[in-house]
Amino acid sequence: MISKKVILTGSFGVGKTSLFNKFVYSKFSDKYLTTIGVKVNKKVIKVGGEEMSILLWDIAGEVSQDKVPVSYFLGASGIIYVFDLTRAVTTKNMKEDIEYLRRLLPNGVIKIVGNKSDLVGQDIIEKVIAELALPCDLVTSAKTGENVEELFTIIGEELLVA
Amino acid sequence: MQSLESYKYDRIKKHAQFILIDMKGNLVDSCNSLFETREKETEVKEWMPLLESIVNQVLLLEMDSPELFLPKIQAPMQELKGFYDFSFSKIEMDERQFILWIIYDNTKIYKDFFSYQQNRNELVLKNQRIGVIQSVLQTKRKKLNSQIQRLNRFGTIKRNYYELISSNDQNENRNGNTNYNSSQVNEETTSYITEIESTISHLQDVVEELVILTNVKDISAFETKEFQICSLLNQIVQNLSGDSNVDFNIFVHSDIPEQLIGSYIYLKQIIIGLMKESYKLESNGLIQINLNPIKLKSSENSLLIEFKLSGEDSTSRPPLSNYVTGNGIMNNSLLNYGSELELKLSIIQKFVESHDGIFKCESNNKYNLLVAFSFPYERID
Repeated sequence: MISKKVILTGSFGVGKTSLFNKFVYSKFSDKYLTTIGVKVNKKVIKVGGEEMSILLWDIAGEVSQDKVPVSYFLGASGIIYVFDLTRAVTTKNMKEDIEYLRRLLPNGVIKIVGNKSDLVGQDIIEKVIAELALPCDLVTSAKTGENVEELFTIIGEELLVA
Repeated sequence: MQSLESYKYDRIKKHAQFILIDMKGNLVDSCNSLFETREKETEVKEWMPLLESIVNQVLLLEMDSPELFLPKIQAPMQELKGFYDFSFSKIEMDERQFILWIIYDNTKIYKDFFSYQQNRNELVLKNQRIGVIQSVLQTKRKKLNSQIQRLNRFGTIKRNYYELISSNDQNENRNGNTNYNSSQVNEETTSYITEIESTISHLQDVVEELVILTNVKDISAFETKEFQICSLLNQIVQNLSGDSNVDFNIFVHSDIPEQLIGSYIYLKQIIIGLMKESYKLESNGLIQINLNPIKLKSSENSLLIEFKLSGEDSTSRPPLSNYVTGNGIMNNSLLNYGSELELKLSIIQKFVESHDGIFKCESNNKYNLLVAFSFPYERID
């Protein structure tokens, strides 16, 4: 079976752990619990008729990505950069962060994801996305599960051909 | 070259486990000070997803490569439930090359760090969240004020129209023109205008209510806290009951914990809303409040809060409409409301549904009433 290491990263409080828990355990909690380092788990998904093991790394949120230990990115094939649709401050360093991550993983698949869509209306989502420095790949809600499975299927499909 | 025994001795002393791996990724030796490896698979990558994802890179380390250090790893496997630092380096012993994997147990230190970071981040998130809410509310208020002004302008236009008709009517009476019944027109117009004015005032109330609810929805999403549900209910009953003759009876199912974690403000807002409506309908009867567990897909733990109004003093008020007592409330939009009660219930329904909850409203005889809604919570373990 193909195995791919995927990293969830972004500022703190954007919902990385909630996405991790929703994807791996199908669970969600409103309670905020900080991540201080890294949690790793895996889930097998079907991509293009094949099984793929996604080894998901949920790493501690940092305002700037250059503060994350470089060793966490070792062997990674994909990165999910998460921001909070309700907190503009979480998109402030997006451009620099993505440039930094691209330098770390020149051939990796990087997806930009706006989370917590359940907390805002479509008008606000559109406004936030329009103001981003880089295009947003997907809008998710770990609470409702909106686009969570789709996110990993999309990244899995791209990793398969990468 | 340091001996294997001295490595073991040094590491065991420091709450660490020393594991030796061959260049194929198989276990060679371990001091087993943190967890037992004898029953485990030979290939170390099978032990935990973290190793599975990096073992190929670890095996590529060279003798002169710097140590690969992975800090603050949380609960990497069933036997390791705390916080650990992992270190990997290539070493040579007895003319053979190995990967030396050291696990440092820093649970105690990192637990303190966790508490510090949790408090710091929660405070920052709360402040950022308040900023967002204030900005959203400001925009909403501007939009709503502009809508209210438009409605007022509409009312003024109609009032001018009425004055014009009235003035024409008087002129025509003076001229002896009686081809149409002008007093009837005036009566209809007056009634129409009164209705419009009442609607404007009603809409203003709706708008205000929605602003408050929107505010609460935004805050409540983050403001989950630990509280006693019975205390909350008793407190609201006491604060609102005043000189009322209404009796309250609260039943709590034994499966519902006394202390729970949930959106306190959200629940309080709904209960206050329902209580206020209950007092309008009931002046002498009994209001039964039941709290029972309910299974919902959207939440692991949910309770169903029921308000049962006996309808004993039914003579003092008109019967409830089909809208309230039938299925209409479940399907109609907010714009289809009739009375104030229906409007309030519609708002509460939208509010509950926006939190992935369920809401129902029933009456057997159009005088008694059952209003129920779900509330998700977390248990305190």
